[in-house]
Amino acid sequence: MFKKLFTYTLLFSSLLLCTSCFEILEEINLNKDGSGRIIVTANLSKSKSKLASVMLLDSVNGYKVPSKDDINLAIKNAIDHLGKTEGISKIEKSVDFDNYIFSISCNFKSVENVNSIFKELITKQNKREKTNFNTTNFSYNNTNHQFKRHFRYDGSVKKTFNSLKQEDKKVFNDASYTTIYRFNSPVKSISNSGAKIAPNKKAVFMRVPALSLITGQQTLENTIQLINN
Amino acid sequence: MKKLLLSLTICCAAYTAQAQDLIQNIPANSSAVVTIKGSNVTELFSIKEFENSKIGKEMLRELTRESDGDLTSLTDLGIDFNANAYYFLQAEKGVFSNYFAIPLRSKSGFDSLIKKNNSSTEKIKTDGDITYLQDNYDGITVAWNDSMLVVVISEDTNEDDDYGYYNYSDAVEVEEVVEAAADAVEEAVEVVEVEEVEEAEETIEVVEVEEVEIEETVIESTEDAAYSNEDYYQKREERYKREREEREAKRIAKTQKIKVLNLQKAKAFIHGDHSSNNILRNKSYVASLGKQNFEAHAWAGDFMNLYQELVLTRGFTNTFGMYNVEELYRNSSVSSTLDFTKTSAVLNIDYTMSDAMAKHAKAMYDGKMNKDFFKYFNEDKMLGYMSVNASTEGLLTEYPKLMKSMFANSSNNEMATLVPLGADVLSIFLDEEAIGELVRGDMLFVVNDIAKKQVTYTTYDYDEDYNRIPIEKTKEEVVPDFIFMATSNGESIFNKLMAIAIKENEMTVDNGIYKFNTPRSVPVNVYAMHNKGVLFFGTSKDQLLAIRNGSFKGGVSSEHKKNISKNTSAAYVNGKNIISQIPVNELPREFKRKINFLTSNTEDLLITTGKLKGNKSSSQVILNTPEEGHKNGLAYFINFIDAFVD
Repeated sequence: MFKKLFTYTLLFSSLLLCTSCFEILEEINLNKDGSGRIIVTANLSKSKSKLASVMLLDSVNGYKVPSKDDINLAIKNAIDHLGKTEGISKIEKSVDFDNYIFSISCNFKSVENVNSIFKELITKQNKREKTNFNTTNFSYNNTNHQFKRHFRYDGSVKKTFNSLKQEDKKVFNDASYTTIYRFNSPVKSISNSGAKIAPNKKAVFMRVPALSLITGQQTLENTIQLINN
Repeated sequence: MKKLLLSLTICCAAYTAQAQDLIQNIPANSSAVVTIKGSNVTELFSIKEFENSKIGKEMLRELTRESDGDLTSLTDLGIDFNANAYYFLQAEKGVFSNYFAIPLRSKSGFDSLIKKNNSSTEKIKTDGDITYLQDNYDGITVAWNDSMLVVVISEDTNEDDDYGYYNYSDAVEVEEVVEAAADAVEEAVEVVEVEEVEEAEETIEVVEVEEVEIEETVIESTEDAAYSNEDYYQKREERYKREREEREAKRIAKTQKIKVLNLQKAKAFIHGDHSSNNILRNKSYVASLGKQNFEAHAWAGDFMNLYQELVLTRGFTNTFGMYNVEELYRNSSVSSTLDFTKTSAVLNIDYTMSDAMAKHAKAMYDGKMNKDFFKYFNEDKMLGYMSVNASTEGLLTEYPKLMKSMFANSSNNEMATLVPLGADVLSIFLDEEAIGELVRGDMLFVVNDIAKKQVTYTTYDYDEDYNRIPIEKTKEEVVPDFIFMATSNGESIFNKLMAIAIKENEMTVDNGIYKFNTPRSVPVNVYAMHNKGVLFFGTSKDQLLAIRNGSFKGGVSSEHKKNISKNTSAAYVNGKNIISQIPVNELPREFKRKINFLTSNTEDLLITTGKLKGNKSSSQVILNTPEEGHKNGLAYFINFIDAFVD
């Protein structure tokens, strides 16, 4: 009973003022030969008070709340899947339940290996839901030294988002998706006007609000031309 | 049209007079009755006042539009707003009929409105002095004469629903798919076998593997293959068409039956002679009416009849026989009243339970509230509280007994043997008295404050080469300050439990105050202490220390003391204080205006459940409403809606 009272009081007060917020980071450090390291991070630290309260419950707004064990298992499954993927090595994870920051990183021989991680999943999703998501997210042409972040918007995302309750939609209000690509060679040009080239010319940064991605107003698509030196 | 009729039924029903009270027409065997007391409502808020409210103006606009300008006032509808309007439910042989009955002064207003909106699917018919129309889709019947209007909505649970058809379709489809898959597998196997003959004997194993793979592939892709199979596709479409037609024919027949039934029921309500057998002959119903000072009243009696109608007609006889429901719910009924006073809205709910259930409940809630609790919090700073006045010993003794009586005569032999046995075993193992010593059963949870606190979070900064640098930022969050108290004579057990928790690194202790090692993400610290027969959990170490030193100055009014100690449970929310904690300036503009209304128009909310009197448990929800700006509780609600409707 005390746990319930504590949970609901904490939840009530956190819902009163605490905002939901999360950021996803996609970082790739690309070597000249097309190999590299990818780090994907989910940072929910700004919502940690709310998450800590929510995780004391079994479900919220009709959605099951995953336990720490569920999250750990999901991360383990992801790592197992990576381990079986060709060309992937040095897999590392970081799980921080104090700050709700989770990240997985691995080395790849070529960006094609990264594509193949999700290929099966995306293909199944496209077939099942009649969606049209890219199965190729990255490509690198070693000859003309061009790195591409592919992104194809699918209207089903917006449709699914619109079907959410107003309260649930709020979760995405301050959420963002950040991509950082670092290279050994200087960047000559980028195609996405929302992206920025680092002063040392060896990195490209772009932060997109989650809502812009959902509504299709902004894209992650970017063609990065490197200088061969 | 339907929407307008429904909103008129609901809203206008709230204002309803006295020529002949329609209660006389409600049969005595009705399962539930809801009354809107027209004269009491109009006394609090007149029709004219309602028409001047935002929601009233909106309704008038719609009414004028629907009647092509013939009706410009709610009174033009002919509804007798000073009489009582009713809803009642009848359950007979698996047919559930919902009635909405509204008294009329004359039928001309409704005639005019309905005729202007008569669509091709809704035909107005006349039978004697009764005019009626029936919906072709679901058979809903609206019938009226010069003195009343009745809407009848029935559902016949004896009729098959359409799910059977869908299941059947699925089964057929699965069969067809399996057949197609089997054919394809056969073909594939034949191909493999031909190859097999040509291959050497050693390759048999390989071929077998191939066979399995082919089989799996075929099953996975059967759907796609089936789609491309023109013959299959055509057959499937034909079957779908046939099934659609069968379903439609069945639906039409069902609706036709319902239409006949609803019309009979509507006519029987309007013209039937119920004088010797109306609901006023039902003792349980009449007893629930009291002095009739209410604006609305609801009553549901004879749970067993409703349960039997629902369960038996649906064929859940196994479930019905599994529990000894009759023993526990015989003669149970619920009634409630809604009463608006000058400064409040009061909802009373009375639950009359069976003798067996009352016996269990009395023992479970035979608690005694610890008066010392009132020394440990201060009403001036309090945002709300929740109290429970139960008996742990009674709960532990009665719960196994309740389980036993529920399953004792179960039709499921296994249940009838195992559950009572389990209950006995539980009773043997539990020392009810000893557990009652640790936590007696009286508890109080008080929220003292919702305070702002700076909390840190991690985000990222980037150097000029876009290398990620984790940084710590702070933001303001609201955290609750609360205290939980429970009477306990088990200090030694508490200390032992705390010693284990410290050993397990779940807690730390400082000066006799124990602190939970909550995760860093939880923005509050929770402390525990056992002092003078009370077990405390709280967020303020200073408060717990002050309580232990005897320096804490508590202060609670006699009203709250009474609410907490005289009831089985009580929950209080100081709405004004809570609303004042919301930083209005930080809210979006469109929200600010609404919160401003709440800030100056929110009072307290109190929910109590009294101790059992005889077999009756009474609960009350009291929402206090501000006097200034609102002439009474009902006017407050209309003004509230006005403030929130854009």
